[in-house]
Amino acid sequence: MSTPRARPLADLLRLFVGPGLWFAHLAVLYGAEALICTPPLASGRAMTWIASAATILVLGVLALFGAALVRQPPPADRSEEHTAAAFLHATALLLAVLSALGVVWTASPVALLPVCASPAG
Amino acid sequence: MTDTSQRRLASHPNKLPRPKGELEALEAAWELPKGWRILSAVNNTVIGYFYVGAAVLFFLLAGILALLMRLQLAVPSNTFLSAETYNQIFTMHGTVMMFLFAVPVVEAMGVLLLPQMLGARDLPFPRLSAFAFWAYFVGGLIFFGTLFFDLAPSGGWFMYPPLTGTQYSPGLGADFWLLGIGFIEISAIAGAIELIIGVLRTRAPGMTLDRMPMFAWTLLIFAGMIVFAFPAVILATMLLELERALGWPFFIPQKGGDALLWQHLFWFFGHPEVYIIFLPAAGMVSMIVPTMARTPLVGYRLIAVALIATGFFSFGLWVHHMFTTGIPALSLSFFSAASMAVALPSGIQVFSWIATIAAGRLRWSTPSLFVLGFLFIFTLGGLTGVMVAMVPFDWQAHDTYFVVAHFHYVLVGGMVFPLFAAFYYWAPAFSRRALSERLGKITFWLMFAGFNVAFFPMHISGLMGMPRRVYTYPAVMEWGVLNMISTIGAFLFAAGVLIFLVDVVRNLRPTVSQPIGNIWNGPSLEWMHNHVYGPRSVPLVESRDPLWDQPGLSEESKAGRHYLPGTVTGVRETMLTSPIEAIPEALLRLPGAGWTPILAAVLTAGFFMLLTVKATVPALLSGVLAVTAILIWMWESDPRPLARAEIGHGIKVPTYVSGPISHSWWAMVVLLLVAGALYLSYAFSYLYLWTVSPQVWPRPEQLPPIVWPLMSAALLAASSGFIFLISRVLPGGFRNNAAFVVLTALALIALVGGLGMEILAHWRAGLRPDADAHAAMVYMASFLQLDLVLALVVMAAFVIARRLAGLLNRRRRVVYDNLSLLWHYTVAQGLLGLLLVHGFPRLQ
Repeated sequence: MSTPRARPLADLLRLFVGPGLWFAHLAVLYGAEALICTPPLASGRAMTWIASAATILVLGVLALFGAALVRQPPPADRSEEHTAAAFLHATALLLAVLSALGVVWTASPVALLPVCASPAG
Repeated sequence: MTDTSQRRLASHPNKLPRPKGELEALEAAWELPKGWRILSAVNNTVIGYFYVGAAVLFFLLAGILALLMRLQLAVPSNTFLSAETYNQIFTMHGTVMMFLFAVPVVEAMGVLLLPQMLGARDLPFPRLSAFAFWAYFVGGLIFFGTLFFDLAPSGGWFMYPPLTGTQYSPGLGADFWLLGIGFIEISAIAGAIELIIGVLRTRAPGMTLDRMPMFAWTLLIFAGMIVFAFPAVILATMLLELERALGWPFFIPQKGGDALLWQHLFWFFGHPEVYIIFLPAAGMVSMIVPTMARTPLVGYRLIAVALIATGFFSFGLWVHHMFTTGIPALSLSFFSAASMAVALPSGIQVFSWIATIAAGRLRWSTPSLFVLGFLFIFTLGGLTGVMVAMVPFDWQAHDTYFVVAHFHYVLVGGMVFPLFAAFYYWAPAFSRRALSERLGKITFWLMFAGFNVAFFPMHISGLMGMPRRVYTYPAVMEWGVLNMISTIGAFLFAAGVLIFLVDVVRNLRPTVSQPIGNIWNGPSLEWMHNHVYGPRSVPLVESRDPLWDQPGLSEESKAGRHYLPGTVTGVRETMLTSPIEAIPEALLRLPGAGWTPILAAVLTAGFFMLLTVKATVPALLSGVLAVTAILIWMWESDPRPLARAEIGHGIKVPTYVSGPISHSWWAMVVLLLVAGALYLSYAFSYLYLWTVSPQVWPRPEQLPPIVWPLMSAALLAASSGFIFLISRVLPGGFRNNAAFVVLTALALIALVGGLGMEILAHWRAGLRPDADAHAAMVYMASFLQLDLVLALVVMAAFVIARRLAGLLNRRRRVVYDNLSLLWHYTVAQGLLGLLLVHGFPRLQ
């Protein structure tokens, strides 16, 4: 094998960008709902705006991250030696796609349900 | 760095025949203690046997409790058990199954299988495994023993306050749960660190991440999830115990606390816990299915993606255990959506297994039957899971037997059936005889039929409105008939387990050197010839299924043609490889048998248990002795650097490494992640209680003057600065004893001073921790900081002692590196705490 890869930790951590953003998005939506609706600090409209902004922002970052991965393919010239790098690359991309689906899915209640409604609906 | 950067790894690095005496030296280095001294063994095979055995023992004990419950519920208005005894039994059944069986047995299988599967000689921290096992075993036995003294907890396995607060649970039962479980969590985290570093750093050369056995992937994710999930419940247990012991009102609404905080923290752990248990079991299935279907696993990459996604998604589901607590409807929908989304990655795995079975020709063996049973039961559990993920349905089914049926389908189907498949599948790798196929099939059919007979009717009794956790019920509707059927099923299931035990007694002959071996024609490395030291020589792995794609591997390895065919330094060793590409980076010298891990574990258990019965002085004594035992053990842990060692093919690797190449550095980083997760849980709790009770938060003018936190922050920053000076700036830092000692002492004084000023500031401002939830949270920040500061005091004294003994210098510095990592983290945590406690109230 030739040169050992220089940034093993960074390569590993890239896997978690997508799922991490998904979790951050969920936390923001849940936190905003708790702050805005439980002791009412603002209107339900504010909740809709915050949720939309967070969703668009996270989807945008995921798209940029995915585009960066697509633009920088793994070292193909030494693919025999760097199968793991190619594997991590593809896995990170797939996870980003799955996370984007998760973000849309998690945000969908904001579009479909009344915001700041009581538990009984 | 290493010579491997200049040389290609070769598949046959060594020539035959091997020099005389090489094998004998290897065997001598790995020789096990004889007779009762085997208790001092630390290598993964022996500890793995103990660990699996202990976990199965707890499975049997908790199973007996289940049978007692089923006897009580067999007929309406039964008086076999009293209400209090029943409460203790169902609490212990759940707690023991989850904390003393499910998580430990998975760690145990990891300890036993992982090194063999990865082509390593042992795990990277053998004594830590031994400590984790003994702590769990001794603590678990004492915890279970409380049942016989009417001291067992009775608040249910999730221990909701206010039922478990001092007002409604005045006895010691809840304390045994809180301290006992808190301490078993420590053991789980120790195991998780071991497994993460084991998977990432001790794989055979060439076993890149994409060639790693799927079981290793699942253990990696399992351990990663423990690192982030367990701290939440550790914090929760600390809060509740502090409330019970000292009256800090975290969960008492009259003082601004909130019982729901417990539920958030518990389920932030508790939901991932389900996947913590399930994922490794899925990993076992991913190993068994290809062997039994005689074809490679279909969708390897998709499964890896699904595992990581499941791991993450499982952290966004916790609120679905709290659908009926009055949380706003939209929030419920977020978690309802996430709960349905997790079915996606789980589905990917199920379809991959089905596709693998379809692609090959399935051998109808006992492991195959258990896998098919798993697929059937787990899928049903998954479907009812999607049902209870729907909020309106959950409101109907909540706290009924429907939920009991659902989670037993998920947990027994998703974990116990794969585990039994694994017992039958891997027994030949560790035993002189395989388990009986005939008895195995009887076991399977009894367990499969018994399980469905026991739990399927619970869906119906639940839908008919029968609540869970009742010690008896009136003769209404068909509850009596359904419960009688469930009881019969439970005994059928138990009969299956009994036959398994007969099989084990008759056929299991554990061995560390002459297992019957690869009777299934499995493709992974644990099926090579095996010894207590793993393979004789470590092969270069060139595919995902090395034994299928690299013929003759086992024989060549046994002859010593591969890497590291003996011991270079005369002691136990394993190869340290890079985390992604598995390139050899160093030779790791491993410790042999010793008494300090078991001693430290028993004394740690003593500390927690004596503390529970309020024997403070003996508890402290036990704690001090435990730390002493750990220090003695650590004294030998940073061995003297030796010359580079040749592992074959002229490749030489260092025998001593420090910094980011060292396995110890990685372990410390993982530990810091644990500490960070704990502190984030604390910050969440602080902010959460503020949203519930903003009225108990002070106005800015009631806070201590700003100069106090600023001085605290300055002291903390200075202490980090002193530590930095030693390593980076001061040229004589490691040569000059006096300068070293003075700087470390100054750093320590600044650190302790910073914490002291913070506590004093609040005390002088008239704040008392038992006054209200805000005050309790403020002191909690200092309490968490105090834990780390105490650890640093001990570690700093240790580092100074090693420096004075001449065991610490510019090169031999792992002990110092670890100290400095923890130190800077502690300072960062302290600064964050100051910002939160003094900054947040000023925002209002």
